[in-house]
Amino acid sequence: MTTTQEPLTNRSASEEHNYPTLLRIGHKYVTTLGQRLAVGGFRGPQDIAVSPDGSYYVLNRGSANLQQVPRTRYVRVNIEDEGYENDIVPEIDGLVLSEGDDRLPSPVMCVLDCAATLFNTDERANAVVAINTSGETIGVWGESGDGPGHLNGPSGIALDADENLWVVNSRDHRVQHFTRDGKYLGGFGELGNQPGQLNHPWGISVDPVDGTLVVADWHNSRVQRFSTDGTAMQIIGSPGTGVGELDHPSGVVVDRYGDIYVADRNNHRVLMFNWRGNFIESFRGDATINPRGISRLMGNPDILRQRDNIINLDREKRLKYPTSVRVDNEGRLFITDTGRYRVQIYEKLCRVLQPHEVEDAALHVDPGLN
Amino acid sequence: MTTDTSTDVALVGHLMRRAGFALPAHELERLAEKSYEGLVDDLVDFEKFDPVEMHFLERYHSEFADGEGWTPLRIMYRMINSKRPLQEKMALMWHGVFATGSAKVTNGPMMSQHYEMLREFAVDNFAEILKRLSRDPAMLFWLDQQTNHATAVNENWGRELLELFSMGVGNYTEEDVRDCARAYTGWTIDQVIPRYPFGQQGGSFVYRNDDHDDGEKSFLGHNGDFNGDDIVDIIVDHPATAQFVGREIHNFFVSDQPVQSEIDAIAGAFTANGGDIREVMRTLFNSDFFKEAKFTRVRNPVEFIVGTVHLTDELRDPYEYGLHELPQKSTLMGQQLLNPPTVEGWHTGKEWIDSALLMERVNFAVERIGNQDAPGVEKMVDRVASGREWIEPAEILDAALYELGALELGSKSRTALLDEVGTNNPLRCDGANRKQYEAAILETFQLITASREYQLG
Repeated sequence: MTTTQEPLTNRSASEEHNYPTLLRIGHKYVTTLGQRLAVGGFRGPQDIAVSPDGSYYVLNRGSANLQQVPRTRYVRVNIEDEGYENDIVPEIDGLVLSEGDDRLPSPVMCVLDCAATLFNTDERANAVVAINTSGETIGVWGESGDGPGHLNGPSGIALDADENLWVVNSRDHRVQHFTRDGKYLGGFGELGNQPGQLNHPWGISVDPVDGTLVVADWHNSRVQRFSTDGTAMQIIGSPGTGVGELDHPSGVVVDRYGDIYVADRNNHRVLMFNWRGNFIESFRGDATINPRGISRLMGNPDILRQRDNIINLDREKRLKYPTSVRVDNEGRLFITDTGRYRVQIYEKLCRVLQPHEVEDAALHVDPGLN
Repeated sequence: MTTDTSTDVALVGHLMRRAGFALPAHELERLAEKSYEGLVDDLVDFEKFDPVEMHFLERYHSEFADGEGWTPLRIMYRMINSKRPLQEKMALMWHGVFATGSAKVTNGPMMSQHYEMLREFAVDNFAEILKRLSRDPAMLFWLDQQTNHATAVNENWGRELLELFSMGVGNYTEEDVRDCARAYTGWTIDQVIPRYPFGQQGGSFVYRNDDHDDGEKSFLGHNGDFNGDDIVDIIVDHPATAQFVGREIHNFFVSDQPVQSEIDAIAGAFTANGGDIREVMRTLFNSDFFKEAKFTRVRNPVEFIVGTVHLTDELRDPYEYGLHELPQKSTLMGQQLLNPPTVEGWHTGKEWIDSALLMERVNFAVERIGNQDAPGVEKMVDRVASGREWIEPAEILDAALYELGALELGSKSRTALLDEVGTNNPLRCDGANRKQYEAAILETFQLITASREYQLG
């Protein structure tokens, strides 16, 4: 791994040609999926895998009440009709994962490949689990340890353009590259707070524009970009609660324009940065109650009366410990709102500008324009 | 820091079992390098030590992000790992005194706020503690303060404040209760958002001036337009409150049997220090009667569990799986954290022990202490063998008692345990007999944890 000595805050202008210039219009709140522990609800949702066919797979990890591993590892949802199509219960060696099963106790993050296989990390089993969308376990791989190819508290997982996997090792502060069946291809990372060093990293995303890796450097409260050989390229954010600052970020995703969304978990918000690493926008949550939630409320007059007396319902909309962020090809942003049993969805509104539309304008800073 | 006077390991063990949680001998030996008074100062002036890092617990138990049911787990984790054991112990004591339960509150974040408040003000001035308590959303809901209106007084909070939280029955009249409740009219909480569909939110204290009774009140011989904080100031100045605090602290830290002269000493410290709980505790731990009160109270389940986990040196790392089992075990032993059985809190002493509860305690301890893979157990086994080639079975008993925190057995227990372990031949500590030796040590540890004295602290 190459560690750059100078602070890394901005990428060079020479990289600018890779990324489109955007007219940023904003983000439109779309809908909220999920509710508390009801049928069609989520149990400690951690992540969501995006499928090109319009289905989405929400990865669950127990709940405060159950205090155990949920049988339902994934819930398949379709956001078009806010439908919950079915629960996906993993089978391992022909046996259905049972309540309290300690074989795969701690799923963390997931990703879906082009063959409709769901891969999720399991941080206590030190494993990557491959499940098809019927719930059959295709493979479980991973060897515990700190050596090359070993897993130690695996958390973030991402597919690259070749459909190989990048897996974050949270407990030994490394990022490793594997084939989908677990063959080790390489890796980098070490503990520390200097540029290029990591401290209990969590999520990871592959920048679709240039293939670089963006890692949520959780305990350093920052995000870092690396080349695939581990060269530190960029530091995004700094510890804090202010504008553009991060407090223990968990998930991270880069969209097709190079914009970086970060689940700023302990600040209960999501931040968006551009490819330069400049803060652009924040999301604090706009949740609305979906039809299933409404029907549940309608069935309980006591709760209806209670809600009618609430002065400030603003709190209910807000994110609570958002763990992951994902995007799809439609420009939608999915925020796994773990502490509120739901996924909040936004739609990105922007226009890609052609070069002639922005010629000279990029150099123009005229206060008089205000 | 005083380091010139070493302290008796058994006395340090006693201090830590009471002011904190049980520790193995090797940790007691380290602490015993300090003077006893220095150790007491470290315990009561705990802010000099860093608080427990909680980020990793939150990360590796991310399924609990809703905050609804995981406060007991957080409490256990803090108790196991804190360098401020008295803060944790005081919070547990106040939790029993100011008993507020999730069975009625049914709001995890609010119960969490409640316990955090008890921790934060654990050794503050008693008046400050009561003032915080009277603004605590969980407590207010628990005792129906939201229905205490200027035009329709609900005496629940006012009565329990006097009876169970500060003075005790016999020290006030029904008129005092009535006017105490009137002084707290308008002290309420905001409307809580129902848990469906998106889970629970915490609550906030709200003072509604338009719902407060501004009329003249007569309370414990004082007259005036009292509000809640005025009531607390009058209560804390009353001699019955010093006695109340003395009884509660004596019961939790000294003995299951009340001794009036000792309660008077604690009450005297309370009065002399203007209700400053930190100074009361410093005085208590330095008193002779405290030092002599070894093994005179039954450890409550939480103390029992945390002390045992200290011995096995497990669950220090939040990444370890199994932490969530500890609050469940405590519940099975009769102490469900955040859910005391009534507003009176848990009944203590021998009421912690019946045939079913004892079995839960013994099974838990025997299983934990019998696990040689646990780092603490492995260390204790090694220490018993250290420097010895052979060991007599009777020596094993004494060595094991020492390793488990310089424990002392009564004559009955000692005779019974010697009957079990003392009939074997001497054991060689190394070589081919190592496994036999280790098995004998583990068996002795387990027998001790099943003894009467291990239940005591």
